[in-house]
Amino acid sequence: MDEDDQFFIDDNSEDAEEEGSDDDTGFFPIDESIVHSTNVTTTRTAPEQLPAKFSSGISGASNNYPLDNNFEYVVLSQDEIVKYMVECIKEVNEVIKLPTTTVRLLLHHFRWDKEKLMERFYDPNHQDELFRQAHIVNPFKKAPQLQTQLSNSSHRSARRQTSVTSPSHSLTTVNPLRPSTEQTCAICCSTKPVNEMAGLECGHIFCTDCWRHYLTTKIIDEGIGQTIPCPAKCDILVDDRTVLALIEIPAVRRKYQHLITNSFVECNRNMRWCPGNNCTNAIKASYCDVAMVTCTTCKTSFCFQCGQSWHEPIKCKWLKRWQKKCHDDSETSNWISANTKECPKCHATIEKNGGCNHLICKNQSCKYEFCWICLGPWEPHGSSWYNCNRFNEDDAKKARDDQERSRAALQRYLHYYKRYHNHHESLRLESKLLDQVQKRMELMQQQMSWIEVQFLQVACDVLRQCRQTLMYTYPFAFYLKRNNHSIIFEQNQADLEHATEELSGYLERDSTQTTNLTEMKQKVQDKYRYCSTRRKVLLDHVTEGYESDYWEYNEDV
Amino acid sequence: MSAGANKRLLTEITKLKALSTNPDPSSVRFLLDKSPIDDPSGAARAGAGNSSQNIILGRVLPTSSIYNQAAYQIEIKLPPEFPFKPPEVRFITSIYHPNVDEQGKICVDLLNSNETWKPTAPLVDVIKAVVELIDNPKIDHALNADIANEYTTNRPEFDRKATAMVKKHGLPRS
Repeated sequence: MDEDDQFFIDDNSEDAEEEGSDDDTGFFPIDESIVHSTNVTTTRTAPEQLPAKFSSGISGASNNYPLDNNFEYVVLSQDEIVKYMVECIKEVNEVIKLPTTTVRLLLHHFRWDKEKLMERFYDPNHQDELFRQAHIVNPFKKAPQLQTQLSNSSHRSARRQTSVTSPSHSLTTVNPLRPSTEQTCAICCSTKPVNEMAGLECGHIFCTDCWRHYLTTKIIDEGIGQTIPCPAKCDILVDDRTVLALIEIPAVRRKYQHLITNSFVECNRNMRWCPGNNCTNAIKASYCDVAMVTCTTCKTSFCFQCGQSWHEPIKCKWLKRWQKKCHDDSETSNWISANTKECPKCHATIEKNGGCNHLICKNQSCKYEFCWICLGPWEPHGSSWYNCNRFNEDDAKKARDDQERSRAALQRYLHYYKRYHNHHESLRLESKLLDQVQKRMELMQQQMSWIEVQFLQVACDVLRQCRQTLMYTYPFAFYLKRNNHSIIFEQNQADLEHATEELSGYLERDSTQTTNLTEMKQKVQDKYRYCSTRRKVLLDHVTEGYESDYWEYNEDV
Repeated sequence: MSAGANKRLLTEITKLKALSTNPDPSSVRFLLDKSPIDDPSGAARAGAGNSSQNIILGRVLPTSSIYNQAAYQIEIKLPPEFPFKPPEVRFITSIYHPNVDEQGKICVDLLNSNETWKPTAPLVDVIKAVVELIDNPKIDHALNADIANEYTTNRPEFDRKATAMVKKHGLPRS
């Protein structure tokens, strides 16, 4: 812990022995992955080498979104994330020469944007403001007596003191040289020798017991890591060195370290957590863009820009809108607009479930009488000379038109939603199909070699890709305005869908019973190659459309 | 609560007691009725961990019209994690007020959010915040929407009901 930049790593190795396998705390096993760092296979890998498994036999089919051409990224495991964070800090530290903990707080304040930090740091007029906004005591303005008083200062001069970095010792031994120096803790009100007290640069001193209680409450109960303020009425932030020096319980340390790495990844524009189930890797790129990235450990492919599973051909913005629509603008609200009318006067929602068209609004304060058909006032309808068909006042017409539109919109939405949902469900059930196929592959190995039956695995991969693409073609089409290119797109979509369902049929049927395995293999291979080609054609067309502005959107659906 | 926290508690209660005799008219006033350490010399005894240890009862004395006609008992419940977690405060005396619900619960920023509570915050500040809320109702943050509505739209009716409640339930101010 004496070394400037290695504290994170060092702390982890310290904890390693106590840890064992108790990971029921639910936190990412940061420390464990570091302990076994020799076994970590995921080092920096160029993207071309990553989807080796998927690209076999279907080369060219998986990476044809033009925006991700040459998009370089690396997959980082938990310990590599920490290393990378330490590197970032070091890099800045070499220039601005401040303690690492201070640099980390500053970087966090600037969401890990080094350039922005440097720019602001070297602006002499605003340096003071910078530290105030980042809730750090300006190290250039510190009163000299504080430096010696605060044993926990993260300054180089103070770091050699060991009183707080090993609190278990300092708690039991009273400094014999200064027995008279005692201070009162503002939290517990006890008077304790000065070496049992600790504080930040702001000068608020508390006993180490209270510090520990305070930090544990913040970390465990409130889940705050990066932005724990001083316990006094003061907004100076607690740096990581202080926290790790005071907290001894491994579970608390682990959670704290997780909170720090988590905020590092989430604040960093060029990093994303892998969304795969239970995956603790993160992906780092040199810039943020729409691109497919694949995690080397869990094989999840996702969009680097929005972190959703890979959604070609639809763009992030429209996918987000679609998901929001599916989520909250659900069928319920569409049903309401298609099957009910509003009282023309008080706008209460009315569903007519029988009776005549002479409606009397049940709203006690309204009681408006109107015609259900034309939504005009009822009064003229009562006279024999008046006829509802003739009643065509503008607003009544408008009300009917709205109704029609709403009904048509519902039909349209449901059309796309049902298909989107179908593919989504099929993808979800895919693991079941994969199990079946794998059993069949084993059976087939009685007649064929292992390598010869791999075509079924490839077929499954192609099926999954096609379904995923098809799934996202529906929201894409939903927002598309009709033009010649959208018609071509729909034809491509229909073609791919048809072929995909056929491929799915081949895989679901128990083809081991077929007498001629070679013939069956030929059929499956032909089909998946066709699917791959159709998928590529569809995606290439969409890509071309993005480049040449074929696509027009319905902004108001 | 650890032995150290008891010292804190003792300090807090001593400060609360001082509020009843504070000669400064601008200072907030509070009449302590019951505390975990009723006898300061018996502080050590209170460390035994009986459940009543965490409850402080006392009367607040608001200064605004209507409410200044009586005193109202509040309960300050200190959680085991005190002072690292904020105390819970509720009104024991019934009070007709937009910011006090039927159970006597109140919504004070200082006590609600983990962000604003500080372990160094003295209980005197808690009392101040409660009295401040009673004297200056916050309609935007009302707990009782009906009373809040009445307060804004039909003030005479509100005043009448609030006064009736004070007459019925209010406690002596000394």
